[in-house]
Amino acid sequence: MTGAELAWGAPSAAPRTPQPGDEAAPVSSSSYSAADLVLFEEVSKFYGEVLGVDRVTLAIPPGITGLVGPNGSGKTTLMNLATGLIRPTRGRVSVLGVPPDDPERLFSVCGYCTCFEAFPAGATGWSFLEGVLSLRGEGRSAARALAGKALERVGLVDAAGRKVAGYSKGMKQRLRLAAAIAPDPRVLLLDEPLNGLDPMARAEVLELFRSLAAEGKHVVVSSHILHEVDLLADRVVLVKSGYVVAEGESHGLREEVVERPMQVLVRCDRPGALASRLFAEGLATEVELHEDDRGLLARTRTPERFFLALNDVVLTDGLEIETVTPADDDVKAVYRYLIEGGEGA
Amino acid sequence: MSGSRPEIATRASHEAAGAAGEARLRRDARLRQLGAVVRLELRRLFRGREGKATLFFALAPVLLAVVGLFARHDPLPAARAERSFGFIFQNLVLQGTLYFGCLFTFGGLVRGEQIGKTLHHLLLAPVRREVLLLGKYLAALAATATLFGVGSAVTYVALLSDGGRPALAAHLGSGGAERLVAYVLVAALACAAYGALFLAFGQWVKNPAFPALAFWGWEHLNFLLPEGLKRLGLIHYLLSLTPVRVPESFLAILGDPLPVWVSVPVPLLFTAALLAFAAWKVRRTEVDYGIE
Repeated sequence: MTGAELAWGAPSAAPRTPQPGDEAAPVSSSSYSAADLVLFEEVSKFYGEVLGVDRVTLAIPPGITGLVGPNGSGKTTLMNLATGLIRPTRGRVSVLGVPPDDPERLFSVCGYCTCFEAFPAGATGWSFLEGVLSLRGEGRSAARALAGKALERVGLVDAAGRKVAGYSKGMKQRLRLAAAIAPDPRVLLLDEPLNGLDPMARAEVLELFRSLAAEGKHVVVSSHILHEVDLLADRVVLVKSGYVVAEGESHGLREEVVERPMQVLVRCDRPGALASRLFAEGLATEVELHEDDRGLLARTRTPERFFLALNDVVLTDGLEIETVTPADDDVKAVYRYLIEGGEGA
Repeated sequence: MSGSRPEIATRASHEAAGAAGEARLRRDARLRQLGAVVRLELRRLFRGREGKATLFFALAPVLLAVVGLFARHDPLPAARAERSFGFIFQNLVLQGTLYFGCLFTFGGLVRGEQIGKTLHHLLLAPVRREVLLLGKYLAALAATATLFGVGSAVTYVALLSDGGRPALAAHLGSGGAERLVAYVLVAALACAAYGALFLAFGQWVKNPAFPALAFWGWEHLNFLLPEGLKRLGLIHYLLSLTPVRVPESFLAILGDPLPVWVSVPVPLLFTAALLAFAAWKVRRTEVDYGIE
């Protein structure tokens, strides 16, 4: 298995074991080369004695990738490493084949919307963006045109003449986003980009991310709120305590989770009988009967056999089943299992 | 299939021309970026407290001279005025206002942006960090050299204005203007050298004020040092360039002023070495503002 394929780590905070071929050709079985990927190869970062991230190996292809984990899990560290704001203690990072210590090339292809809130004193939205763009060597009129386009995309044109110090948190967030997208980079790293946005702005920004991804860009969105990323991302990377505990397509996560119990909700007329059969055949590790005696929640490590047995019970015992619902067939269940230590999973 | 020799030679010359053109484009782009950094930094300096502090320091000797102008009953003879200005320039400007003005301005060029959590805006631009550092340094040098150069010139003129405009014009015409230009150039050289020192201090330690105060003490004691040790202080080279030399104290060990071919290149080499150190440090600078 390679970095670009689905790869789940152990449920604990242990690092994912490097896979054969990770170092030499992390995506050998995929259609992407290193020049198309954001690559972390065995990357570790320590802040003195404190662990930032440890032995992270990741290959991020185009599309929307969600970087999910609780606060302090290492999401910002990964983004800062990719953009050279911090240097890895060990390992290598590259963005479309460009190392972070080459800012001239790196920021020609990469934009970073940080979570740092400060802006230069006295700056207006316009002056800030024009200043940032002028550093690219753009002429004044070109910088102004790019700034105007970016402000329009994030819906901040009307407020752009005002001083940033008077902006709300959401407006500052949009301005940071405008600075990241203005030069039209191929890779966008967005650290908690939805923070402080009202629901309307949030929907607009999510749509913007989708349209940027549809243009073939890499859009890496970090968040500690899984729901945000689950709705948006093509793939998800779960980070906890400095380790990548899981990564993969956000669809079909469940199939990739081996050795982890799956929850199935069954509404039926005789849940007690069903529970007995499941235990007798060793198909359930745990069963919770519903208080109304009209259903149960079963946890199984062998879902395929579980569903076959369920069919058999219906045919042989005449069990009347109302609904069968995988209770956690979404990223959230995996997130809960991996990040929160399995409570409720 | 390989081409004929003339074809290969033509291709090679085209490639060489292409590479040269690319290098020229990159150099032009870097110059435009350098200009952009200088403009942004000047704007930041004059909006921030660094610029206000530097302005205050630059105006201090001017205020002193203007107050003296109004307080005196009898006009100051030109020779005494020259000597007074020499004393002010040597003790108040070089070892006081200019020194601390440069500390405020250059010490905060990178450190100030880290404290204000705005450094990442620059580091996330497609600009080499050395270009960023050089642009910041040049902006601060332009600001301080202008303020302290103009401040010194105004102070000089104010001290020599006692006899009225004709006397001032006569004095300037008889070598005063050359001395005035020399003072302004020494102020600019001092800004360049002290500025590079404080920029390096700001890159090296969290609070550049501590090593700056230690160095200030060393510079202040320079007049007591024997000739060999004097050369380990910047002030010795700067004072060698001043048109009028005033003994700091009766305890001062006065040596012969150094020749220009020593006292100009040494501070410039010192500046270049410190800038190289600062560039090396800025390439390794990390930005996390203590978030994680």
